[in-house]
Parts: sequence; structure tokens; C-alpha cells
Amino acid sequence: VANAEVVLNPTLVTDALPADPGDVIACGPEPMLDALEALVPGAQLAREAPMACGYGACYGCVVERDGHRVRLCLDGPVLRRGGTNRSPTDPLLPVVASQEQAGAPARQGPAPPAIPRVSDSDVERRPQ
Amino acid sequence: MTSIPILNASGCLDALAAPQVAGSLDAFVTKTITPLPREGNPPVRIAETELGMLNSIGLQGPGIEAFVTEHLPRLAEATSQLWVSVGGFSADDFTTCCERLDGDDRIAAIELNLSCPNVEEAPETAAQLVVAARAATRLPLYAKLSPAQWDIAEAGRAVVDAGADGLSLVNTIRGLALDPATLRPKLARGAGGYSGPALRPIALACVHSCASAVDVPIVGMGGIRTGLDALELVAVGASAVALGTILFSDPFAAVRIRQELDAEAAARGFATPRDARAVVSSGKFLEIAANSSA
Repeated sequence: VANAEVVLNPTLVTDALPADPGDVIACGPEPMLDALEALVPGAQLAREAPMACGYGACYGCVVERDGHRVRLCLDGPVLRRGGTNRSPTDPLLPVVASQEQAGAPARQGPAPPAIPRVSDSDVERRPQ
Repeated sequence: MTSIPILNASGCLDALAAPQVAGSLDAFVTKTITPLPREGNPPVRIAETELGMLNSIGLQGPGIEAFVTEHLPRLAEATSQLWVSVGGFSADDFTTCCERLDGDDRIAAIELNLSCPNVEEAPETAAQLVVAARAATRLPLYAKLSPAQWDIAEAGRAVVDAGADGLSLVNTIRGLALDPATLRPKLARGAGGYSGPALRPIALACVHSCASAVDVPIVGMGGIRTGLDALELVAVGASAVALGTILFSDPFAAVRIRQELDAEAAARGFATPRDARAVVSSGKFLEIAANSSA
């Protein structure tokens, strides 16, 4: 545009981040999320993927995670490194919460996914 | 139960995650099970198109052993009739899976996925894979065929001669979608399996061809969205129908489609939808139309 004045200085989020950023939550383009995660391993990042069923049946919305392919609909959409322990090849859903609360015996096999929360403690933010 | 059973297409429903949806079907078909656990294809795996969708999952799953010990007991409890889809990359793989399932009276049928468009093909022909499966189990075997072949009736004859008790028609057909901005394929693997409304005329032609070539039950599927879609598959020879892509946008479509199917059949003078079976090749449909207009 002729005579336009540039009023915005493009800045990388990673450059703008303070040295000790504390809790980091982010959504946005994947390269940005990857760069953030490299800088802050405990960052909680909202990922995106095309999704068909939305409840774990179709395996359409997987993303690469700690060397595995996990479903965003079940294990996300907010992910954090080391934040899930669901077997990527196990289509079993976790037992419903009400059964667990009623004192039903713990299920064999992989535990339900750890759902990252903004209020996660420092212990949970610690990179594995 | 309706006179035309309504199933789900393999891979489009998880009966444990959505038991009520599974309960709306006359039978539940599992996602394809392979001998070993598989993580499937790299993402991106799903792409929408104007008339349906592409998928490239690549048979992600727990493997036959974990399936039998952990999933099968719960699936048998959650479903009224259980079909297990099995797949693999060689005749030995089909043997392994079918042997493991043989004699299990919780399983109503095994569907042989002979036509996944998203993984390497077995070196053997479909008929040779059926021979291997047949030798490994006495459970009913349904051969699921690809629509991407010149003469599907010939393939249907071959797998029935090899011991298949029925046919599942059709699997997805290979398709490709590009990102309009970059012209790169949307799916990580490039091509994927194309499903949805665009598949329906292809499925009709395949079922029609096979119904006149073999005398076994046919599960018709491909782009069904309405009862009339289902009735058309019955009219070309399907004895049951299965819902796939529609379950992603309308999980309880089976309830609606069952009602519509009955109404559409009745509107054409059929006492039940079953009476419309294969009228296209028999010519009976023309007589009925002539009678009703007289």
C-alpha cells in the first residue's frame, strides 16, 4: 500500500517471553507452539487437527506426542509434554468418573488421561 | 428389529465410547484389528471435501491379543450383535487373527478388511486371503471389497468361491485433496480413503454387479444419509446396510434412517423394505410402479 506506515514490529513470541515465564498457555500456529515448547517444556498448548467423530472412535485427530500418536479429542486439545499416559493404540475409554468415585476397583491397563489445567501445580509443570 | 439390519461401517463408531449409538444399530462392527498393535499413519489424517471426506488412519489399534483380552468382553456386553473386522498385510496375518477369534460364540461374524486404501496391500489376492481366513475359523466370514476394481463381480465370485459367507460392499475409494493455498496434499500420506455421498452411486453399482454374480448376503454401504439411500442399496441387492460417514455428523442416524426406510418402502407398495431386495435386476419394481399408477 502506497505511503502506508508500518506500525507493527513483527516479534516472535519466544523473543518476547521473559526469562522465567512461569505458567505458559498458548494457542496459535503450530511452529509457534513447537518453538514455545522447546523453550518452556511444561507449556500447555492448545493444538488443532481436523476431527471427524470427536469422541475417540475414528482416530482422525491424532498429533505426534512424546513419540506417540494421541487423539486430540480425548487427550487434548490442550497438551503438555509428558501430560498423557494413555496408550496410543488402546481405544478403551477411561471408566466413567462416577464409577471411580463410587469406589469401583481401579481398572487394569493404562490410566485415564491426565487433563492439564491452568491451575496445575509446579510439580505438574516440571519437565519429565 | 427392522427387516433390513442396519450396521455401522468399520472404523466409524466405537461401541465402548458411544454405547447408545451402538445400541441404535442391529449389529456393531469393530474397527479393523491387526495381529500387532499399530500406531497408524502420521497426521494429518482427515480432510473434508465438497461431497464427503478423506481419511488416512492406517489401521491404528491395540492388536488382536489386547483386543481379545481387554476389549472383546466389554464389547460383547455393550452390543446386541458383534462383528469383528480383521485386517493385515499377509495371509498369515489373517490366519493369526481368525484363529484367535475362532470358536468365540460372542462373535456373530468376522469381516475381512481386504481393501484398506491406507496401508500396504498384502501380496496375496483377496481370494487367497479368504482361503487363509476360512482355514482358520468356522465363524461367518464377510469379505469387504474395494470399489476400485474393473470387475467387482469377478472379485465377489472369487472370494465366495474361496469360502466367504457374505460380502461387505464397499470400502472407501482412494482420493486426494489439496490445500488451495499451497497446493500441497492435505493428508500427510497424500491420498486417503474417500467416503460420503460421492461414494453412493459407486456403491450402488458394485452391489448391483455382485448381487447378480453371487448368491450370498451383501452388506451395502457407501454414502447412505437417508432411508431412501438405504432402500436403493436394498433394491440393487443388499440384504443389510451400514452407515459410515453420516455417523460423524448425525450419530443417531440409524434411528431416523430405519423409520425413513420403512416409509419409503411402504410408499412404493412394499410390505417391508426386505421385499424391495434386488427388484432392480428382477424387474419387479417396474411392475409395481405400473400397478400403482393404474
